[in-house]
Amino acid sequence: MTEESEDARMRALFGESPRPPMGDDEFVRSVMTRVHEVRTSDKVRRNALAIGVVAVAGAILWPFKSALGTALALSAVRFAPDLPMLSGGATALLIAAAASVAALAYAERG
Amino acid sequence: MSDTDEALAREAKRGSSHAFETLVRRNQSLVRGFLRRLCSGDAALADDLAQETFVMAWRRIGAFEAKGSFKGWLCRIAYTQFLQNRRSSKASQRREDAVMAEAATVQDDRAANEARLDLDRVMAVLSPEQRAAMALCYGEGMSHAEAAEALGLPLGTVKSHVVRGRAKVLAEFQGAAA
Repeated sequence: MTEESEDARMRALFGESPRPPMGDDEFVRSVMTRVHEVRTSDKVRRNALAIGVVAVAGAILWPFKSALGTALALSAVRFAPDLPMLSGGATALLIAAAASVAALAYAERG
Repeated sequence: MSDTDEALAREAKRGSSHAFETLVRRNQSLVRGFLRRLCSGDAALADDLAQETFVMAWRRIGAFEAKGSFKGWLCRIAYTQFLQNRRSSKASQRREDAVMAEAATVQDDRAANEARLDLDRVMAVLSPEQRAAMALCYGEGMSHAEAAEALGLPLGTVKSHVVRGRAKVLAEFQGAAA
């Protein structure tokens, strides 16, 4: 028996034996149900982890709340923007808003 | 339906469960057929492992690189699932041993059991690597190179598994026919 004929015999043997059907909707549905379950449980796990991190960080920082509050208040007073800075920011904001409105109007008109 | 598996995998990577469902529909027969060969015809175990394979594929879809074929990547996950199940489940090992013992009995009492000597029973006498290489090359029509990629084995090793496995299977069938 040559290698080619042995290969052909093997292919025939494998070809004759039954295979699962091509479009097995029931199997696909059961897989997708599992996938959705996994997706949901992964989301819940991620959310639980995020809440846990926030809770741990809160517990660690809680004893230092007064110190942190003082530090934030001091830096806010020290680095508060003065009037020229505020008016410059407001002008930039107005220009950006006007440009956005103009662009929207142009897009609407086509 | 003209999208390739690799294009659908890219969509699934972006979170599209519809694209993933199409991939499952297209490849479920391949994966289940491959696992049935590995599990010596135990269809229930093979289907459980196939389901685990697709769930694992969904979890790892971010790691799929479009350089290789999606089918090969999927078969590799299926083969890993099979090996993990084989290692972890002593019951499954016992079941496999029983099938192998039965195949040996068939060899001893060929005339009486000729009708039961189907491909799955003969495949049970092969090592898992030989079974996997033969199932991919003869059952799924993959080339030796594709099977090597899917199994994560060197090309030469896959070729030798196929040659040795083929010789064993043909010897079993010829012995049964004699």
